[in-house]
Amino acid sequence: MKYDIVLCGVGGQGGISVSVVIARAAMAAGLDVKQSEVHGMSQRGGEVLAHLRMSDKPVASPIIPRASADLILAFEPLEALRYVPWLRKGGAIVTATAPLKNMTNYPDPDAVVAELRKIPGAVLVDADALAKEAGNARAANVALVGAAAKYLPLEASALEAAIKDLFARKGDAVVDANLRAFEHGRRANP
Amino acid sequence: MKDLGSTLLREEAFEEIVIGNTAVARAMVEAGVRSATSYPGSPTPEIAEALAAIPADRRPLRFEFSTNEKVATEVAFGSALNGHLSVVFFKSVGLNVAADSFVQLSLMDIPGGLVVVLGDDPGANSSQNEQDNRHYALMSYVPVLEPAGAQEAYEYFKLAARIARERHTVVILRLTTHVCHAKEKVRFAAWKPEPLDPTPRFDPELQNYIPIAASVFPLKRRALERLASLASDPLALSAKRVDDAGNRKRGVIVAGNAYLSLLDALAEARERPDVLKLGLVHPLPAAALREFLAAHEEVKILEELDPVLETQIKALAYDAGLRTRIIGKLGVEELMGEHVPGAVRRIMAATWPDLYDAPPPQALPAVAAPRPAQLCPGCGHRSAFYAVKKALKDDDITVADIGCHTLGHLPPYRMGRVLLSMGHSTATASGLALFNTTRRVACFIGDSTFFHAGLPGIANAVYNRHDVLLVVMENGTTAMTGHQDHPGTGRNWNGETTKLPVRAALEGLGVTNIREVDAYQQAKLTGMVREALAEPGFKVVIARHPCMLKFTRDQRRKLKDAWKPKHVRIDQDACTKAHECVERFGCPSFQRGGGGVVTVSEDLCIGDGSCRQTCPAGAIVEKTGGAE
Repeated sequence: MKYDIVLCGVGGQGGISVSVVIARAAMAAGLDVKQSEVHGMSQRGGEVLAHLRMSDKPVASPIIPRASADLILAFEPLEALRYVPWLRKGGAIVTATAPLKNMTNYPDPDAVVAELRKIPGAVLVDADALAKEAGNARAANVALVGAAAKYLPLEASALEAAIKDLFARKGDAVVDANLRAFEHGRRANP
Repeated sequence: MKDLGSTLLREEAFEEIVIGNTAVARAMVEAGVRSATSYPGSPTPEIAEALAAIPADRRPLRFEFSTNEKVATEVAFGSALNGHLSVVFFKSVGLNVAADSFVQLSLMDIPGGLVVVLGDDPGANSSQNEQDNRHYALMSYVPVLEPAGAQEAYEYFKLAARIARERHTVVILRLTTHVCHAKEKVRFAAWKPEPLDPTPRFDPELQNYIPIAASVFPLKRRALERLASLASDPLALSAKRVDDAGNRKRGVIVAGNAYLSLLDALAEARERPDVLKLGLVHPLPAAALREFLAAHEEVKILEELDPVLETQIKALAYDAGLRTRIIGKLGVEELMGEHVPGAVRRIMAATWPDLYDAPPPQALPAVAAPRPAQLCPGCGHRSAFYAVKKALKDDDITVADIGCHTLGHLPPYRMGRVLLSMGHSTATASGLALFNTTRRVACFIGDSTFFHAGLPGIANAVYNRHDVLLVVMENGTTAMTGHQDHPGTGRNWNGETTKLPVRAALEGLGVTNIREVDAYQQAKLTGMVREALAEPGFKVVIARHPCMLKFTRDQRRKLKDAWKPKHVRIDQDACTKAHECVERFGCPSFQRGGGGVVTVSEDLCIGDGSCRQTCPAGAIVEKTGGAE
């Protein structure tokens, strides 16, 4: 078993940090894990990208080739579209729908969504709304992980344990809000 | 989850998933490094971030960000001369800055041992080129160890430190971007802290430390002999592996991160070539290479960037009379970019067309427009470029330097249209001003770069009377690499220190024509640039505003909920759709929607207010709580 995830978003969204949740859950499940990040030029507002690979055999390269990702987890719809060439046939896309239009030539958001819907296996999630329902607007990234949970080769309980571990230092309220956001995400894509 | 600082000091053996840079930081602790120096540059600054996570009173080594890579190398050399194991680390092009001192190091007897950790950047992810620093190692007789991932980075650092200490010499650990920044599980050994022996052991009788004229030759001879002897040192030779697939026809010689890409690329191959993966890439393990070449009919040399292994291995095969067909680079494309798995698969398929049954799976086409790198919302540089541009004519010449402000070359500013290297701007601008009576020349430099390599160009402009305007874009930090301090900030890595103001440095260099302004005061800045450009000779405008990413982060940390940024909104009744905000000021917070209606993105606006003065209709107004 091997499972490759491309995580993408825009700098400042805090999206990539949740890759730790998936990586730690995979390690706890006894899988080998490698992750690579591209630290771009701009501090805020530029593309951010991480590759996360897990397998029950040793993972070699930390980099996922084109046409071979099992999942694209996108925190912004145009970024989801950008990394479509990495998706393998039959792979899944889970993407937040809220556009971050910090470029003058940002296409019509409806066209972006329409383009994504053409791809079989694309799931579009209003992650911001899910996070607000869960009581913490900043938990959109965790809600998105929830929406992708059914594709991951990991138990939901393992992901929950990793969420608790990641947010433990920020107190029970933050932990609970993130667990709720995860649950809302799961229910959005059952 | 244990915090990073405690993790780095764990005394029992443990496993942790870390990036290569963090693995190197732990290796420094275990190896007994006493002094580490650096200048910030991607992909290496996280080594310092890891060290910073160790509480100051428990730090087993001293660290400093020096003013540039040459200075950092010299401080490391000096501390190693006194017997302290020392490390200097920086990015690829940093070695160009350090080179004048670096190339001397192999001539020296260095009792403490010195490790140079290089962050090379194939793919030019965050650099102005993708230079292959193995060339420097060849020209200066310095050994190089090259790891493939974080586990090897950790092990090879310790090996490099051992070789450096035992042989009183300098060793390079050559990392590349995806070794620095890829995370994997690393098995760390136990560590026992040892007290620092502060005895200064420099002994000028140990050798002649003044290499001039004829005294160079005994030192060079020793450097060459020391390097040659390493090629048969069992310790150094342990840094390699052979993946024997029993293939007596085909083999691959590879090093570094490309090895991991090769493993992936071979997973779907019809046949498995044998692989010799090198760890010590300079000097080459000649005996092992001859044996591997002799055992195969065809050998592919797979190496990222330049054919450094290839040329040496071909020479070695020629000298040994080997008939093996050695396949090196197949074209210029193979000298460019990272050897990621997809690229390596293409290279292997080109090398042996029968290696794969089928081409790689077809990727879906890309349809998304690129999201260009850009100045952050609230950036003082945006305000400065917007204001400076108003004072310039279309055909005036502007020169960029390295830093966040380099992004000013992009639309809508188009300011700073030529770039060479750290600190080049004043001198390049000086040359552009020669014989030039029609197009005025302005150049830019950030404050960290000012102290790094900007000073000589400025002294030259004063000394040789160049007719240039320099705009110092002072944001009080080294922003692009993650907000490190510099001599102008009053803080160093270890705490408070003497502040060296940019203005005082300029005055000390003999600059008499200096103006200063907050970059948010756009009309004043425009006026100053106009005035300055009308005056002959070398003149400076300091456009100062703190990096707002750092400033707002600090304020939020300090004031918590009491931090009240002044977000803006568009007064739609007042807006005349002049679009100054989106077309010329260009803050990404402004979003132009259907019918040319501009709105402000709540997610992007940081509440700096630097935009309000730009609207000719006064339609950018402070948002006062209520809905828009």
